[in-house]
Amino acid sequence: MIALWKAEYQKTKRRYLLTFVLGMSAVALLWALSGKLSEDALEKGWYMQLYQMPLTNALMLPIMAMLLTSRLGDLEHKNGMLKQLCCMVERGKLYDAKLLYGLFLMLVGILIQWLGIIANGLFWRHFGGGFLLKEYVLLLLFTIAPTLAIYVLLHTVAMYCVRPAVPYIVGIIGEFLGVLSMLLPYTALIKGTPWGYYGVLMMIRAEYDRQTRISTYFYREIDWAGFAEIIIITIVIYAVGRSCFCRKEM
Amino acid sequence: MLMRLYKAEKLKLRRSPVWLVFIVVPAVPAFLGTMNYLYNIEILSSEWYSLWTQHTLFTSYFFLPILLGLYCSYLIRLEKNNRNLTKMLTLPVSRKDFFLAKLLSAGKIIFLTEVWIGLLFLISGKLIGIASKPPIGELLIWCVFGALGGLVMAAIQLIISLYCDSFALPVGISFAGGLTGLVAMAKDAGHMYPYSLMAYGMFSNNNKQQLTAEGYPQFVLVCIWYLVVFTVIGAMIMERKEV
Repeated sequence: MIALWKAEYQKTKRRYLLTFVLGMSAVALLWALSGKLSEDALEKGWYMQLYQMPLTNALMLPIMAMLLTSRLGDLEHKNGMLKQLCCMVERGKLYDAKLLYGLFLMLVGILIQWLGIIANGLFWRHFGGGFLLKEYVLLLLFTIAPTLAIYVLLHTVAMYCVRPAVPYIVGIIGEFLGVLSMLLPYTALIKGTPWGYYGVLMMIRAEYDRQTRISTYFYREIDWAGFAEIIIITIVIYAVGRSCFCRKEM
Repeated sequence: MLMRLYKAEKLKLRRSPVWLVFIVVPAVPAFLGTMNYLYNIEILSSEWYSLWTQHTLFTSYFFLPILLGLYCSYLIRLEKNNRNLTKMLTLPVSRKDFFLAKLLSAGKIIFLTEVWIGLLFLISGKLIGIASKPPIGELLIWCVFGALGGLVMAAIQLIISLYCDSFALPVGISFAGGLTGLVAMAKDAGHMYPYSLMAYGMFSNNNKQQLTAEGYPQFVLVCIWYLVVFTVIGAMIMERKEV
């Protein structure tokens, strides 16, 4: 496995994947943190970020996953590299190695964003109230879980399909469903795709008063069943995807 | 020659399923946007206009730019695969026309997507029983202007795809373009920034839109100006390409 990882690193050496992850994370942070905040917003800043980040994540992280999986898959499909590689290495191991490599890059992006929003609250905006450690650790967990499911799905598609456009097509349709379903109150729709789980695992809801322009944030009961569902979905996608890739005709 | 090249483009894309995405993807916001409209009907009181915003808001800022990036990347990749571009460049055809044929091919799909978005909008409005008459004249303008703005974006994306060997990078740039387009709209520069022209032309964010009937000629002129500039740049790149 280590050898496969090293090979993966060599293949992606001058392809600027990490630079790309850093760039996307920077864009996501700029997107999430830009804008003027009122006194009230600064006072409730920690809650505001907990409310806003799932939507930002639902937009940004799946696109990062789409681009990474397509790029990593395309490396192998180009010039029939996959055929040669599969003669030398067990297919399942190859699938796992590429998955872990991509997930590592995704995790870097998630951690940068997570640390960025915390640093924003502590050192730049100086949000009121104490830092909500437990909630922010949960936010990290609830960001990683749906991203993991989406990444495994797109990785499978990218490894299975020769055309690099296919992960994008699946990704865009899924993301569209996920983002728009977050605006609707229908649980079946939100839980219909892994993309919707960013919304399912939100910990905060908000009410905005148009007249006073003040937002009030409330805790939502954490949907642990939803969390268990997304973990199960990930395992199922992984098992089915790995098996499909192993049986794929080269 | 241009028409021949355009026909060749059509042949290349004949059995490619990429056009299918442009049919499927707009159906998602049409369905969910309509549901969101029904759910928030007390706040969204402008009937057809509110429904249009629900249908196109996310589409024009995030998803159409990505789709356009994807399509342009695909068009160029067809040439880069198996050294097709080298073969094309050795043929006795105008290189400028070659770039124009690609642009026309992208333009056709953008226009058809806009027509499809418009049709879905009308069908959704009728299905949910909006009482007033649909704004057909305005809808035509939104779709034509959206297509025009999209064509500008396609011209840029074709240039980027010509430069980049990667398939993913132009798509990423297109997504970033869509995001910065949103920022440009917020800063009242939507009428000048190439990546926000599509959303601006489509009136996808009615609250921020300032485009009035007096502004139509200006919008068309800006789009034509950008199209000319980027087409000349694209043609120049093609002219200077080494075989």
